[in-house]
Amino acid sequence: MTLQRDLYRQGAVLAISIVGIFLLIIILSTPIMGMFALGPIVSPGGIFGASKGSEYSSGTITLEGIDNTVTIIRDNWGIPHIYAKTKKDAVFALGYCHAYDRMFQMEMTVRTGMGLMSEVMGNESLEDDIWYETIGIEKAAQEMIITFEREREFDSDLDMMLILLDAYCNGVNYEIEHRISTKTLPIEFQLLNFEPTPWTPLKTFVYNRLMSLMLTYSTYDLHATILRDDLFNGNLTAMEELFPLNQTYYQIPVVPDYGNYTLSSGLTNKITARVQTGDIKTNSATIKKILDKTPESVKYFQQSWIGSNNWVANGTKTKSGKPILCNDMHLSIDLPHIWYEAHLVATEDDWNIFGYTLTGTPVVVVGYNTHVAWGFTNVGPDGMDWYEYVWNDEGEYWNGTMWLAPTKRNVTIPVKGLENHTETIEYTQEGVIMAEEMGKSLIAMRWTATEEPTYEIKALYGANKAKNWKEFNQSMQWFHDPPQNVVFADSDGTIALRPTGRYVKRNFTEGLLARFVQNGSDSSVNKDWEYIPFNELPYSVDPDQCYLASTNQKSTGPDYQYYISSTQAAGYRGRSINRWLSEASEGSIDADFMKNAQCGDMGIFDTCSEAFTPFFIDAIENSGEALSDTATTALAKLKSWRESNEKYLMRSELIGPTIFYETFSRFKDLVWNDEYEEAGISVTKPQDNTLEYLVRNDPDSKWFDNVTTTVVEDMDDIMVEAFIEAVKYLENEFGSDIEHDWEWGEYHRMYFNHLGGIPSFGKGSHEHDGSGYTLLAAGGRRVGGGPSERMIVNFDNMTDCWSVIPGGVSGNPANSHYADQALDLWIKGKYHLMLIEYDSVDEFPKAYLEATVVLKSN
Amino acid sequence: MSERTLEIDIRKILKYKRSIAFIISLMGMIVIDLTIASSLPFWLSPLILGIIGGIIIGSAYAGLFTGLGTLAGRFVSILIMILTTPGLMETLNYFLAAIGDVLGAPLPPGSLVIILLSSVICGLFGLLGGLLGGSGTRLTRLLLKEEVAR
Repeated sequence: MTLQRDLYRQGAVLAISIVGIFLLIIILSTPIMGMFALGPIVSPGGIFGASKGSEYSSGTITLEGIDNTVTIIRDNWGIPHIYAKTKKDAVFALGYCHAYDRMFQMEMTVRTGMGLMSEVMGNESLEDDIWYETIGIEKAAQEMIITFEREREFDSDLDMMLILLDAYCNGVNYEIEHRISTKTLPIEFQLLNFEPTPWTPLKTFVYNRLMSLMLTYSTYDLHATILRDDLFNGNLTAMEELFPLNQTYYQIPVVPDYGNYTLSSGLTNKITARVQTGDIKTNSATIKKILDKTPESVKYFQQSWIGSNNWVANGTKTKSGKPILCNDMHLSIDLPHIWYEAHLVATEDDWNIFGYTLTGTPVVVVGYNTHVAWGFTNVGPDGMDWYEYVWNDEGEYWNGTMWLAPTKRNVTIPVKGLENHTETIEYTQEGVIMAEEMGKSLIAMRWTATEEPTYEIKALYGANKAKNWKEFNQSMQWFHDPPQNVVFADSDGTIALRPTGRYVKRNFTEGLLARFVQNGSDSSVNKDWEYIPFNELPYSVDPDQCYLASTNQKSTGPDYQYYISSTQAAGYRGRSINRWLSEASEGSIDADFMKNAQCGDMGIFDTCSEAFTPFFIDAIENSGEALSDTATTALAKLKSWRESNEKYLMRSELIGPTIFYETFSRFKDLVWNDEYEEAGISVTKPQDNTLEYLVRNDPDSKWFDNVTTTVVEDMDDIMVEAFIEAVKYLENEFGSDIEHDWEWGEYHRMYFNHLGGIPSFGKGSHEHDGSGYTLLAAGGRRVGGGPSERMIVNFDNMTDCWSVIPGGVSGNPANSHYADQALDLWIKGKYHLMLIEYDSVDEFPKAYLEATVVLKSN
Repeated sequence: MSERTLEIDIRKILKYKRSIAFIISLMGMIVIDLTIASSLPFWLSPLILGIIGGIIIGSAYAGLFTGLGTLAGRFVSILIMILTTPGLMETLNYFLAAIGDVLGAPLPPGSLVIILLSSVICGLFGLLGGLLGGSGTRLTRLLLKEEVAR
């Protein structure tokens, strides 16, 4: 009996242990919240491998894909200095570095553009994937590849670029395969429980089209149509006062050779166009559908986008007699950062380039070689047309002469945990259908970025190897989208600035029509696109003023014949830099001057506050309004700021900026919100330079009156109300100890957030100088965008060239170079040297060296 | 060495079989973790080591020793990894914080939590492996004994 009992007992233990093992395996292999499974991730094959790439260490890697040995030196900011014999090997190594440092960023960025987020994130990303497939990012990229493959036989530059692109992909894929096989994928892959897919040229072109999305996708035409119909009741002349097509209020054009705008008048461009409403009134419900469907990430970018700066001074202005070029492109600031600094040397091909690369792209986008330097700002082109059509119950649209059925394209979107989703995307003759109301109207969109293949990659390849203005300018004819103001300087002393890109050829009257949703069913509407020829685009070389600058303001003066843009910046940054550079005496400018202009006192001078603050103070003082003690102190602070040596500086330690900004924000709301709410619209407001025009010239304008009250308010009334409201708000928010608690740095914070929205991978908020209208661009109160890089190239001897990015090289949160530049340099207004002068491994100074990796051909 | 001496030696060794099972689990875990573990399913190595330990001890309570052995082995191997891999500690801290973000309940950075979690999971498989190996061995013996008795 005892033996039997023992047998049963052991059998039971055996059974329990077997069941327990299976249960434990199942439980620990089950993904938590659809993401990672606990068992694999806390094992040596999981998270413990993700630390690869945490720090840089020296070593030798033997691999296939290169012809000769390549040495990668990581400097003390982790920036790779790549020394190769040929440019093909150099870009292979660049691909390897990109993947080593930014694999997750690369994968997720292209997944976004290709509409493949649902495959890893599940159903919640499906709507956004459909949107990306609809606007045609991947389709455009595919068409680029087909076209380039066809044309490479006849185009040696394009052919070489594609060879380099293949080498780059091999470099990326080497690292992807290595990480998968060694189970050392970055932490985010572990969390989300998926593996990266191989990099292909298609992905590079998707990346390229995403830059267009960031910089030229604009719903401005939709907003303008709502404004025209609902706020101005079709009165274009009235609309032109607040939304001048030819943005002329106090604008200093980028290219100085096409006349100047009169500062006191905005209406230099006489409106001659007819009001074009056509047979149908634009269906605002359809427009609203389009606006609602726009992904939050795109809306976020449109909100945080505040422009870019570039400028150059020639040898007459500089101490050294050689040009100094500066650029800071304002983009959304996330971690890991969008830009990846790299130094590429290819001895056999005479390459020595330092600059900002996009992970996924095998060339330097902005930077310099030993001969030329260049930088970009966005033009703000009107590169999108929207058409509304009459649309019948059979699903056909009227194109002006006949009923047509839309053409269709089916796309399949894989969805994690669900069946694949098939979406049918429809097109009219003009573009892709973005929204429809069956039987009523449909709206289609046409966009320069997807209309036909563009050749930016060829243009950038040309820029990377250019040796002078002529070569550089020739290459820029291929830079199509997103259109950019390109600033240039070379070692011979030439400076230049030119808008480049594809612009639909229109005069201002035609442009006026094109900034609204057009009637696609009206046969009289010109729907043909022709681009302005490159040699007819404006540009300036070695101007008499000895400097050139662009800050997203109006590209040309009134004498330029074509309409090329609709959404310029308000021009305050342009006013600042033009002032600093024009006031600088001959032989006075050096790199320190330029640093000051980017983020020193000149960089944080706010011309908008300079324009408005005196009006606020006068209005409050003359109002006779009984102010509270706090308001009286606040007014005194505002006045003392204006009268101090730090007037209009948006410095973190100052109180004046806080009072001005809060008052100004409320003033704008009080001026515009009543009319907008009465019209029932929530769209773009007039720009602040337009408001400045009204303040300076028309204080009794009807726009100052609050239409919801019975009395008629004027500008001063609204300014006083704004000030009192602002003080009350600040008192509630920060207390009444103005001296200590109302500092700009407390109120105005810079946020370094993680690209994927994981708070722990962000770097918190920091007090921050500047404003939306200072050269150190920091718009809004919660700043999430701004100078995505700062570059100063001094052609004196190339050893005085500076750079900084608001992030770091690595995409690994645990790496010491994840956000080191952001926290140690950028936020403090500091820079690091670019070190282009060290063009061989042996010359690279040990003081700057962190690690050396040698890639050897197998 | 005579047959008798050998028999005595084996008996002596068998006297320390719990210790042997523990050491095999511990050392085996360290060696496997630091070499081939990343290419194995997360449950395989502690389970196998547990089963081996269980067979050596030949009883269900072997699970106690193999469980402790694999737990300690994983703990030590992770410590070795941390000491030899720059940035691993920071990665573990970030990982835990990210889990907190995902769960919506912020967790403090704490690589120790990950290390303990990994060790406990490893120990559980070692324990179950020991139970399996030990009870299986014991059961086999009992079945043989019953066969003989018949």
